[in-house]
Amino acid sequence: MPPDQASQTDTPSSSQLAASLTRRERQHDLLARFGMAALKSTDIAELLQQATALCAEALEAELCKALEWVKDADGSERLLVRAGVGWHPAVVGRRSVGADLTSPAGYALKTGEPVITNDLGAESRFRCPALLAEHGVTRAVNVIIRGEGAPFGVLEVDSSREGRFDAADAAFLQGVANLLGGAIDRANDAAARRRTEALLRENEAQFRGLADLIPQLTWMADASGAIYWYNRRWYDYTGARPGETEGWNWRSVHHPDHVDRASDGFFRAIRTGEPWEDTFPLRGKDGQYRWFLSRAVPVRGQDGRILRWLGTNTDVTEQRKAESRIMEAERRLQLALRAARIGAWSWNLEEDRIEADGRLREIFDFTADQPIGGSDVTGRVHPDDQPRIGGIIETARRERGEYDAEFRILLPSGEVRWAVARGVVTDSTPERSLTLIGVTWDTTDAKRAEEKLRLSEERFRSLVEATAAIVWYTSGAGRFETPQPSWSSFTGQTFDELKGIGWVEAIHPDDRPHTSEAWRAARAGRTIYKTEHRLRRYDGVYRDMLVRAVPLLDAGGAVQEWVGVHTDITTRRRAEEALRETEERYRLAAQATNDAIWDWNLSSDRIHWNEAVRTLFGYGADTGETSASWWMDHIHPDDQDHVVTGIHAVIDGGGTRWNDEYRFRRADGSYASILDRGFVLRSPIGQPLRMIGAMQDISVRKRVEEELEAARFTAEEANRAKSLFIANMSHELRTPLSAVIGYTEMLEEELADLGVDSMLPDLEKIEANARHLLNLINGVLDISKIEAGKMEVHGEDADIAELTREVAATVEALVSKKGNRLAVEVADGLGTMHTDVVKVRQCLFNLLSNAAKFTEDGTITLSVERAAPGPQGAEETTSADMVVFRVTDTGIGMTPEQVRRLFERFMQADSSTTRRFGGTGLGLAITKAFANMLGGEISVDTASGQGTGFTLRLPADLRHGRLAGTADADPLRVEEVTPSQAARETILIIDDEQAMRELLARFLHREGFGVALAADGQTGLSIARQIRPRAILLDVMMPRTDGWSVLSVLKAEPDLADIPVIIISSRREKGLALSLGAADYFTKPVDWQRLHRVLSGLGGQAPGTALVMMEADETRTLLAAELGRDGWQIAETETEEEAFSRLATTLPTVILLDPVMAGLDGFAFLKALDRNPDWRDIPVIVVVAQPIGRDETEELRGRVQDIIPMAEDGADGVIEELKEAIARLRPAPPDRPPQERGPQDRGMDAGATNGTGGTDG
Amino acid sequence: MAKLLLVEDHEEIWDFLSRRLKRRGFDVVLAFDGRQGVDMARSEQPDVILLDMNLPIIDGWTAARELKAGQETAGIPIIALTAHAMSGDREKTLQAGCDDYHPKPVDFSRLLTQIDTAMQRRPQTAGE
Repeated sequence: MPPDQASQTDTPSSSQLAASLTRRERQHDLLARFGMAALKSTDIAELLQQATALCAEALEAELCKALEWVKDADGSERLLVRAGVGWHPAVVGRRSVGADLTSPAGYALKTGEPVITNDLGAESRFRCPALLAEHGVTRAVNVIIRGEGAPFGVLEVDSSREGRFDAADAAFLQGVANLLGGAIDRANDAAARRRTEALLRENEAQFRGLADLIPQLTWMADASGAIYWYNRRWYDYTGARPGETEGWNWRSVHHPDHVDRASDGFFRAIRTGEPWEDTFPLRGKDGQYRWFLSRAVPVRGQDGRILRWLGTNTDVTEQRKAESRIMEAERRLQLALRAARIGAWSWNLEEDRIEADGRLREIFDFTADQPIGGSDVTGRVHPDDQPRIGGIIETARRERGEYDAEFRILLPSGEVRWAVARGVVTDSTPERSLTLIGVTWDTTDAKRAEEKLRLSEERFRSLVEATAAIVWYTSGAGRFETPQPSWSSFTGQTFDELKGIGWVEAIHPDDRPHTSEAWRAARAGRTIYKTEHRLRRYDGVYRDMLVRAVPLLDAGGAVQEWVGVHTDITTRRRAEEALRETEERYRLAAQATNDAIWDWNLSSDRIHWNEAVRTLFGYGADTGETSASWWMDHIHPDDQDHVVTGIHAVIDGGGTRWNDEYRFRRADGSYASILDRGFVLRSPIGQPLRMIGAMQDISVRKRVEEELEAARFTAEEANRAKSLFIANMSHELRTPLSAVIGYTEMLEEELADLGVDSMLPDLEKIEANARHLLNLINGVLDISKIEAGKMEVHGEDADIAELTREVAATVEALVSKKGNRLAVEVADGLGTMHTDVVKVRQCLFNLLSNAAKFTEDGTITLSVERAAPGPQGAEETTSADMVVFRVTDTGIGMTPEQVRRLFERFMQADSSTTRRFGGTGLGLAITKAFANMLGGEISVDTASGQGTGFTLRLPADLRHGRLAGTADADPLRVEEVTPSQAARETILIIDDEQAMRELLARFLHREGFGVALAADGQTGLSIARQIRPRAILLDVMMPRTDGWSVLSVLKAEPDLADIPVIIISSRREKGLALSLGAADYFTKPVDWQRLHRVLSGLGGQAPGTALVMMEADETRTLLAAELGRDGWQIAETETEEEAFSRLATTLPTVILLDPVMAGLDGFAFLKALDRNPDWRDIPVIVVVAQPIGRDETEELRGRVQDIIPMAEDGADGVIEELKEAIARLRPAPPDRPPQERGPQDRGMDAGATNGTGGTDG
Repeated sequence: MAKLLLVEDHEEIWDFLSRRLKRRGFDVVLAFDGRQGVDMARSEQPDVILLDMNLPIIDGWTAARELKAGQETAGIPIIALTAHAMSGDREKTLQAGCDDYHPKPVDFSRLLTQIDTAMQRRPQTAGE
């Protein structure tokens, strides 16, 4: 709080203090309760309302409001009252206050500081907002509402009563506002998640609905005619379950009377490759048959080979009914005409007397002898027709011509009949008076038939309109002569534009010729008009249309009109093209490789093979297609089991990919080694339909591998034999040497007894040289034994102090030779150890004599102590009790280069050393090997000229104190002896295979990690519990506790669950690994570069935010899920506007961008990023869904961190690459922390947090 | 005076070894193969047997087993002398009944210590 505000508080009286205390307690209570409510609810409006009520109560004020920061379209901003208590009607939701610094609320918003005003009228800082003035407000407290993102608005408490708001009130208010901010964030997150989920659902539905949008029943069959896919309408109509009607089982829903004809026709089509068309009834799920027009066309590959058949069944029941109605109507017309009652009459116009026969009287319902006048007849004409008939008669009378009229008769009974009258006016009667003579017949029945026909046609049209995209009608001549609402609404053409042949304008120019030709041919032959073309939609986009029109013939066989239907097949076409492209690519790939490609139809159990099955295995031309059992029979009997089991596990288990290695019989009876990889094609509901795969002949590779293995084995054998030979040889050398030394010593003794001292120095030289030779031989023998695996360890109990002193005593003389002093430091209470004492002694002796050799007039110190178990560093950690021996000297020391080669055999500091100091150069190598055999290790600490210190660390009990992972003699890891390189962090390796441990450890050392090793799961777990490694590399296949169990235990223990576990396995079980919680998965051989990147990704800081700007499709969903699993916050957008608004609130760690997507120009977006200094440095990784040009690639290269093409094998590959790309970003994080706002924003937050400090307790 | 039986076929070895042992005041009797060694042990009843392993007629391991099996010789400590420093040799000699093990070439002062130790243990061994 600013000090001037704090100092305004008057010294309170004790009663005031008590009241204040009560009020604070009440505030704490309210804050806690609101905290619970805010956590549970994402209903912001409700929370704002609650908050205002509560704040008013807590601060004993009558007014409170929550203001939302609103930016209007014109760029101005204001604070809108979103919720409140105590306000006049029509304030909440309508009124606003200023969002600038001149209003208290605006000030709070812009600075983030709480604003306390106790005398609004006297304020110099602010103008009193009108809203407050209207309510007589004199004092107010304003605090900002904000969460992680941009500020939401302001929470304000107002009062017109006496009193004061103080800093504690403001702190309380800020507390409530912070809770609101958090709730708003959560609500926004939830809303964003819901939006994403909705998008996802929509996307998926769209995808699934693709095929189902086609009005017809649609299906696809393979080249042999077996149907492997239906759209949903098929299942909807037939009521069949997926799998029931696939293959040839569609026959089960056919009408028995028609099924054979349909099958025969379809077979014929498949044989000849001709399109097929037939009409037959299909049984619906209600048991009723409906008629379907079925068409199937072959889909051919580039080479003209039929890939599959695409078929449709169109419900033509209504058409057939209409047709039969037409026929019926025609029949009835004929009947009616045949039975027509023609009445004859003559009408003397001058006398108005009508002579009529009986039939006419019947038609007009006159009695036989009734005199009829003209008005009698015209009176019975339907009133609607009377004027017209009157006119006709008048004209005929005046012009004395013929007349012809059709009219309705309204009988006295009310019945209406149709009649046609034909006549002529004449004055040639005997009386020469003007007379009308004519005939009239009743056409009522014919009319009725016509009307019925029209009705049925209308019904048919409405049906057509309901099922197709565009329905149109032309005249019999094929011209549009009436408005075409359906056509117009799709193309946007007005009637004026489309009429006649104007519609051609909407057809894609390239498609006009073949369309015209098809249309012309159809009209000429009065056959069905079928074509496909691109039609321009109202928005200018061309859509692929399937066109079909039928001529409606009149009774005489002339075309009355054409009824046409355009079906939009763009989406279907695209899917087909994609499929064709895929298949084409597949075919090319098949040609390019020598692999035998197979296509196994799971329903017919037949396999199609490509050419390579013949070239690769020598089979004849008849193997183009085989049964599945043919393939199975040719697999080596020993391999059949695992192949069958494996492939069925994939097919039945819902998997897609399968691979296996097995031996496959060639035509000549020999076996080829095969790597077979296949994938399962499934129907949309997951039904396995086909399996396609490639057999790769890896015989040569296998043979090379076997030869290499044999060579390696031979080399190892040879090496063992060599070691054995040397061991035997050394032994043979030692016997004569024993005699030399023995006699020399004896002579020395005897000469000493005789007092012949003059010869003694020579004898001593003989003995010394013999002993040196013996040492050399012993060293070679030891090394050979170690190499030949013949060295054994014999444990026995030994007193540590005694052992140490004994060794010291042995070397005392040696050490003192060069004027060195030997200091022995033995700690108290060392007790005993169980180890191979001979080897320990030899190790110490080697170290001490080594020290003595390189030190003159100095001090050599041998010390020993027990090291308590505990994490002093990765390498020291073990549950075992350790004994630590140290040999330090003040000698010449070593350079790092010397240290590096220190433990190599026959190595000495340099070649001159041998001359100067003697020695075999084997001592340290042996010492190291022994240390390892005893379960311990040795390390060195030195610098040239500063002496050397060796540390020998051995388990106090050989039997259960092995240092994890040091079971065998392995070359000392160089990194262990270069303490200058500080270990980054420790990584635990759990692997039962010693070579693998060593390999990984070596790699990790190089990467700068500390390493802890465990040879089995249990040890691994106990080490993990002790040291909490940064990460764990875990093998799966281990004896006793396997990797999966270890992983499960790790993930089940809360303290360990967060340690990333990277599985390294020889098997492909990534899914299982990830589902059990592994952070990553590697198959052997390890891809070291990838491991490097993954480990770099562990670099410490949590993953940040990734702004993903890609089309909302499956890839994006998968990608987001994968990254989310790695701890990334994902923000997804598809438009620039959304992206910019996100960038304005949160700086992402990385942007993943598809530069070529609808609604976004990626290049412009990148330029926009560059213009903003805050955004310029955000790394961008481009994921390219469609291939982009070289220029564009170049343009991107300069700006983005990585370009990842969408892999052909789908999202997996992309994600893999993406993760690696992201890992590459890791080593150099941006200068400012990602995910955080700028420093000035931080400052505001800090102030706000301080303000709430008092209420936290 | 302690009596040692040295069973050794290699002439130079038994020669200098026996001479040096005698110089140290031991009474040394010699045998040159395994069979002779067993017989000598029965007849001479030495305090300690120094037994080479690579012997003609019967080898040292067989001889050791026979000695430990024979009532008169079972109590005599045997120190195996062997150039067989290969893996398992030590185990094999101890299994054959030898009480101690001295790898060749001979470390004379250490051998003296081992002989002393064996002689001190003898009454206990005999008492069992």
